[in-house]
Amino acid sequence: MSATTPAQNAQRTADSVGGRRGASLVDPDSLMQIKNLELRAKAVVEGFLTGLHRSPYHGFSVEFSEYRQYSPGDDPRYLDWRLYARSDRYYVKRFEDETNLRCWLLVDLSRSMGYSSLSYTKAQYAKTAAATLAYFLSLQRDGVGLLTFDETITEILPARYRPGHLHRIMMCLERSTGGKATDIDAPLERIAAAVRKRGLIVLISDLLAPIDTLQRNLGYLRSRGHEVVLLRVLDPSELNFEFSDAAMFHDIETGRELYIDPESARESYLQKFNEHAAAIEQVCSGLGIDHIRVSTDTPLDLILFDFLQARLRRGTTGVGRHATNPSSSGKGTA
Amino acid sequence: MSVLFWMFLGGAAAVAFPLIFHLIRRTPRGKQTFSSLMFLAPTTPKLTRRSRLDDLLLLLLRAAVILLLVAAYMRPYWRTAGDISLGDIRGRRIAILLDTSASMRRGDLWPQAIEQIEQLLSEAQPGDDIALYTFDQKVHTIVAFDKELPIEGGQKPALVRGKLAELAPSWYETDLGSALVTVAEALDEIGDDEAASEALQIVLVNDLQGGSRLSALDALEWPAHVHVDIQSVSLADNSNAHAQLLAASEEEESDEPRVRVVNAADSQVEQFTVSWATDALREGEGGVSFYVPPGQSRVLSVPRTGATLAASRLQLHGDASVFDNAWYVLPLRQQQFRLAYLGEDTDANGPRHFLQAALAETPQRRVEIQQLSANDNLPNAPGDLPQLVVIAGPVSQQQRTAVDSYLQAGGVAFVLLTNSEVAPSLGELLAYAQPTEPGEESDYRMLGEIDFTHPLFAPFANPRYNDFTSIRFWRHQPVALQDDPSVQLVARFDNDDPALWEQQVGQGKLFVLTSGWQPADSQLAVSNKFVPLLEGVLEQSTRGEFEETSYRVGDSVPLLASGVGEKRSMKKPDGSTTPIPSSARAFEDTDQPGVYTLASGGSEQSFVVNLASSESDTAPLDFEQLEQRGVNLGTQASRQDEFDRLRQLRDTELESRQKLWKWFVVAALVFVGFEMCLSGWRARQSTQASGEAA
Repeated sequence: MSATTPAQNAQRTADSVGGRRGASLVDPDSLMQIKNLELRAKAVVEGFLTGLHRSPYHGFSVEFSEYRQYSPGDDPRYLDWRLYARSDRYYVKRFEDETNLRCWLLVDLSRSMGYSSLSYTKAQYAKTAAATLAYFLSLQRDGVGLLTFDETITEILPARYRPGHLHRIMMCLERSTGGKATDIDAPLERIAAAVRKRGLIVLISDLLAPIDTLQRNLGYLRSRGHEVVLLRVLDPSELNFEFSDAAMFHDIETGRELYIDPESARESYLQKFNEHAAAIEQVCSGLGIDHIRVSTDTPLDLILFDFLQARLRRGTTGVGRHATNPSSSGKGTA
Repeated sequence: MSVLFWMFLGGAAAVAFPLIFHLIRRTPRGKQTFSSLMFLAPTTPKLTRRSRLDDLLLLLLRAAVILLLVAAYMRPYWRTAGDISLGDIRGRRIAILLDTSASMRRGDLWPQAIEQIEQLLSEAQPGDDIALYTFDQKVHTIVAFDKELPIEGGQKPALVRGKLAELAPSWYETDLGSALVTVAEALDEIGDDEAASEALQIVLVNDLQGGSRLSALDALEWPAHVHVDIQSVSLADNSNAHAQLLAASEEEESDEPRVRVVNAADSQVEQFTVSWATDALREGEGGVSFYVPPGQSRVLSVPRTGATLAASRLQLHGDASVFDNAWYVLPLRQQQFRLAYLGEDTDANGPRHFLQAALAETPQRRVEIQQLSANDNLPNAPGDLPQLVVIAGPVSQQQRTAVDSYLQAGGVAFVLLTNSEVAPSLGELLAYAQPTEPGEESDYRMLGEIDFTHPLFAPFANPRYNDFTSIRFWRHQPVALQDDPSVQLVARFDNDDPALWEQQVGQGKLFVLTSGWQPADSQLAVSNKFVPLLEGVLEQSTRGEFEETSYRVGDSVPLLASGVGEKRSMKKPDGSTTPIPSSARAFEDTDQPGVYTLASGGSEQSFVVNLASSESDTAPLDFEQLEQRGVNLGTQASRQDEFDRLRQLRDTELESRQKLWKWFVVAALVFVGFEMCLSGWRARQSTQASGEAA
């Protein structure tokens, strides 16, 4: 068995899908018809990997660590029968079950993520994206952790690669419901405090909140050596504000209501929205963070592709290089 | 229609509110949920053509509800036939009572009064009859009422206006009570005559000064249907004071003139100066300062010496109203008397000596005594006629004739029967008094019976001075008086012998004392009664002089009868001269303050006329004093007002009978219900539509 690094895997998959961009992808609307999150993730990842020359099923192996004398309660599956035959002693084999990469998926499930102008919400899309990444990383035998939050941290699973861990992640994602307001600082501070080893942190959020402290917290993560990928999930209507009729606009998070005439408010909205996005982009570029802005009508395959591409770019260019082109990373999916 | 009617009609403007709300409230199609409003600012609702057309039925319903409520509050009613007309309403008779007293001369009170009357005339309505009365001391009818009320406007306002221009305030005092009584009775009389009751109104235009006399109102029961509307005029600065020269009191030791200064109750100044004024003196020079708080009076001496002796008035300075600041007095002038003494005595014990001593020269008077012996003739030239002839001894035939003619012409003679020869020498003059033989008198005589009503003894009428018992008569000439209508016995001795009598001889007077006043005959000349008695005789002799020298404006000044063919004229303070008929016994035309001079023959006599002090009491009169005397204060409604009032009463009655407002309220409630159903249905439709859209 040959062990491969995540960067190598990423490059491999990225190379294989590089020519497939724009080809037939899974329509998110159709994809969301699948109720089971794990199946959804599987559909995306397996569809994504179809046609690759080397399947990830054969690329990883569990590294043997040592023998240990069997004691009652150990899983009998790990008994080494050959050694028993030779020595008439029960020994269990121990394997190195942790990979090099620990990926934390930070999923924002605040109320603003419950908004949708399509048939599925941003939260569903974000969960699917998180599940897809978790599934994909699990296939690569990378440890995946999960942290869902709104204004507080609601669920937290440590980053592991274990049989059943992926399932727990899927269950945890499916179980999570929409919270209230958005507080990005708390999960970031928590992750920064809890995760000692360097890893990959994927923040999936719409970031529709003040970003005054975003730079400080992300910078803190970066200073701890983590790689950070910001996956900003936005509804198409948030991006272009294409409403036609005047209406009382209701803020999901605060409950505030305003009378808005979209025709007259659109220009101002887009200006402020783009200023906010530009501010986020500036924070990310300043810290060397990959910023992927996706619209919820974007096929999830492309997210995976962009993720891998970003990972590849990170693997080749190295941490700390301000190589991410905001326009290119944004344009790719939005 | 009341004020509320128009206010509620104004409430119909509220119909604009639903219209405005429909216009400005661009109701959102529905609620649009959005992830975050952090990039959005509220949009100002716009008026759009589409919004005007929205919910037109609801708009009409809401407007209709408001209009129906407004209509209900306006209490509508249907007019019925038989309504009243303006011609059925009674008219008004308005008596304008204008104060022309002296106090109206203050400041701009008169123009104010004229302006108020002009205003009143301009507000006169058809059907009003207007009369104009003026009053001060008396009431004057300037424009009287018509018998019939004018149908239309009439010429009265123009007539009154024309007469107003001719009026000016007088110098008389204010008798408000008499004026009100006179005009009220005139109105009451009209009211009784007319079959239809008319609104009777007195409009009193005056300054309501506190000095107005109201006593006449006490005697009248005020007619209830006569209303008095008081249109008072006033000044911003009402400060007023006046000075008055007080008559010299016998108890007063000082001879200096005393002046009382009275300050009105509402005056704003307290410091005044009073000085004697002549044309030569500058005003205020040598004045005396008076500090008089408002509502009080002070009496101080104002010396009159030197140049001020010729002053004809006291002038007060320091107040705002000048009309009453002058108090007129006669300039001090030494009167010259000529006295003819018919008697031979020259010694210090004779009557003449005591006469001369008693009539010593004073600043006011100088008596020149001309002693005539039996051979001297009495001067008979008009300028040389003596004012008094004293006969103390027998007279010659020639002198008797002269005395007789002197008496016939109005002269005054005083006879002393110092001996028994005097009476016979007067012959016919004393024919009625026959001397009798004096009895054996061992004791003195006193005056036993005195007529204190006679001008000679009137000053002694007071019990403090009427004691004549200290005057003893040692010797007298008893006479037997025959009945003669021209003889008036003034005093008797205690033995009933006549002591003093007065005889009317032609125009003149003859006084006869049956004794002498010298100590040889009696103690009269050395008693303190002698000088006042002689003064009384002198007063009797000053023919043509006035009884008093100071009068008030409007007083009647008694005049003595003039001589035959004598022309008299009165010169007034303003310089005008009025001829006085020879038959006139009084001068009534004292219409202004100042010095009046009567020119009679070659002589002139003067008297002064001053303003009544009540006219200077300019503090405001309390309305309540009129009400307490029963005066019905208030205004009568004009014909138009009365018409409006009656019509409103009728309208109220109609409205309360018809109660149309209930139907409007019911209709409004129906509309409200319909509007609620419609808007509810619209809301449900809208909700369903938005639900389907979502």
